[in-house]
Amino acid sequence: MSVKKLIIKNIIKRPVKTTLLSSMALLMAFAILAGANLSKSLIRGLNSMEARLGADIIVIPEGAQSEEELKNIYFKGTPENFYMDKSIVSDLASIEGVEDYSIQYFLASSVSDCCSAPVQIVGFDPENDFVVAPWIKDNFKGQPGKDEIIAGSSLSVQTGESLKIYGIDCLVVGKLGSTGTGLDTAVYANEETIKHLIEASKEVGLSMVGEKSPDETVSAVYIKVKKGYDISVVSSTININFKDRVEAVRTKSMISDTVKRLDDVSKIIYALVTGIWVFSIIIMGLVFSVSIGERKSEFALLRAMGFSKIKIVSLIFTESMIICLIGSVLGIVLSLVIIISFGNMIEGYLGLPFLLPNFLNTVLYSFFALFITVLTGPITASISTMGVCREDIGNALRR
Amino acid sequence: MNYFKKNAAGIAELLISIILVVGVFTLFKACGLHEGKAMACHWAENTVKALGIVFIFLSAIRLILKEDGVKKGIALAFVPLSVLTFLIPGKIISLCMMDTMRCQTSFKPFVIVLSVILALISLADVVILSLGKKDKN
Amino acid sequence: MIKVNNVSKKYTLKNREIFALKETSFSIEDNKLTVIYGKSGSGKTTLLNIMAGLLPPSNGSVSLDGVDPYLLGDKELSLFRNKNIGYIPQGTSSVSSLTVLENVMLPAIIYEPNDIKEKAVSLLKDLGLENLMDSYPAELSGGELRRVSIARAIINSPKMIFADEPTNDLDKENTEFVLKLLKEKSREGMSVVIVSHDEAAMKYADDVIRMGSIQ
Repeated sequence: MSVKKLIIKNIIKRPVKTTLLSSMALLMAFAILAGANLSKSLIRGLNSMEARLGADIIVIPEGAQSEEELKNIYFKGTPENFYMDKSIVSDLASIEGVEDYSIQYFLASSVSDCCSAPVQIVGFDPENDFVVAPWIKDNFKGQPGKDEIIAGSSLSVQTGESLKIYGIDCLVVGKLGSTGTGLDTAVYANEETIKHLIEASKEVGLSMVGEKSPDETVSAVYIKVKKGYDISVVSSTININFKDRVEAVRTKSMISDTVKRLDDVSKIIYALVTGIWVFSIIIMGLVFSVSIGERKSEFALLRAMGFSKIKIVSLIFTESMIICLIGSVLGIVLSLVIIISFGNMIEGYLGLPFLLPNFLNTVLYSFFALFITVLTGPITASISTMGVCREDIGNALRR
Repeated sequence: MNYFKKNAAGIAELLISIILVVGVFTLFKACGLHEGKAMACHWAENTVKALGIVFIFLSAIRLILKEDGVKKGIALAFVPLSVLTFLIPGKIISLCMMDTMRCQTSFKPFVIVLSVILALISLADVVILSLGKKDKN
Repeated sequence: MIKVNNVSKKYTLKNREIFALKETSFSIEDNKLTVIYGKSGSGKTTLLNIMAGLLPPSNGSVSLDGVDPYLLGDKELSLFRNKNIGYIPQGTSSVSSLTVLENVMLPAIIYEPNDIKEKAVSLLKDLGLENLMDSYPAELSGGELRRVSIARAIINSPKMIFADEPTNDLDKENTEFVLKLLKEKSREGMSVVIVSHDEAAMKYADDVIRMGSIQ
């Protein structure tokens, strides 16, 4: 027999109260960690999106549809293809304020091909590109050759496997890390490969490129603006000079909607987490208050035996800390399992870039959630206990 | 041991099994038919549905029958069955290629989370039933 | 030696003063069984609790073997109570989450680990409770719980035992058993003070303090 045993038995022999209190702790820890993970994932997703856009201005074929389709590629991962005449590239290069440019080709694979859904294929020039290439270098050494592709993180295909695109077997030579954007479902190829694929798509009559040859077309031109030049001025210049041919989109404006939506979603998350917390603290406080009130004569008996006030408060503190610890750990595990497993679903539902925090940050947030929850319960319980212990032992025993 | 203590875990097993089956039939389906054809994930969904129905049947039997040995046997059986269910989406039966498809975003995580919960509850059930036996002796 | 000097206790309720105990003085010698006898409401329990260090008096002082418990801080008083006082409360209080055996051992392990199991088992045997050692308080009768309280009060071999109506709600057989046991303890060197309105207690008393006569 020991004081430790008394604590453990007090917990085990009151299963209903223990379960209720543990459940509140579970809820609190779950809410804090889920809230932290969700908000951080949204912020990371947004930063990732900004980094992946990589340029100040994106020039696309003229027409309201093109901007919509471009956003779909980045935000929804919906494969698109659109093309404009390649001659625009040299015209753009001569615009004042343009420091550098990168061209890209977009092609959507057909459904009956490799995969259960169309896949976005992005063609780029590994030597001169500054948008995609640096990011690919981060994750893949070397360059993709003819009919070789690099797969985004959300494709369930491994290095060494092949994907058939428009009848052509493309070897997967590398995989990329997660970006939390629609680009995770794309594959990347060099110019030679993408032109080969566009030709193949023409042969099955599924090409958007029309009668032109792939050598004469591009999908988008990414522009870096020189320091000291106003990006909006450069973009307006392009729009005015080449009004009927192309449209220049400022990348900042592409994501401004997203920033606003992210703000709104974050506010909702904070409100929910706060609401859950307040609810749990109230319930926890009530349960502790009632349960400790009921144990008044038991505490008086313990004090008559020789337990000091401090010893009793510390007993209750330890008891409630153990109960809250059990609940918090379960809440944290549940939160992690759900957010990680359902991460893709959450991303699809919110329609916002979503990138889960790295391992270290996840561990830090988990400890934070644990720490706060494990302290709240015992502090609440101790306050109730101190109140109860104020009465003279003799009077308390008579109840 | 009173009825509730002995059967709390069994009741939980039944509830989780029901949630699994109802979920896979409704909110957490895999992908639908594609151009009239069933994709691989369709068979994963059917397999999980079948397993779920078996779970419901077994957990009901576990609650109805009185013998402790039988209850313990059923709880023990739940553990490898839950592990099997956990492995169905993506490991034993493949799913669609893209992580953005419903079978990956919705069906797979739902089955994973529930099978883990079921495995943990069954383990707890086995432990509680074993301890209960010790008490009696 | 227990000394009570001009002790009284009053409460203020809605601006009225209520005397739970009017001024009292007396001494109790060691190794005696003393009965505090009187009608309900005469302040017997209040007096007992003040003597046992559980209720500070409004006036006056108490001396337990030369120590005034109310001059000690809570920590010191708790330790003093644990080592020197065995208290048997009215009613059937026990720690509900502990078995009978664990309840009895509890006072002995508060301040240091103690291999007290043998002594506790032997005590419970003397009290006729050996078959109920692993039972929980909820499973016991009133008489059995009273005996548990007694065992718990004497496990530390205290110098003083204070018992509040120890034979209340007990049948004749249990009443005689409890009073005989407490008398034995006083012979063994403990000072025993019992509050009772039961005439049977008088047979065992070395001294009687009648509450009515003090008022």
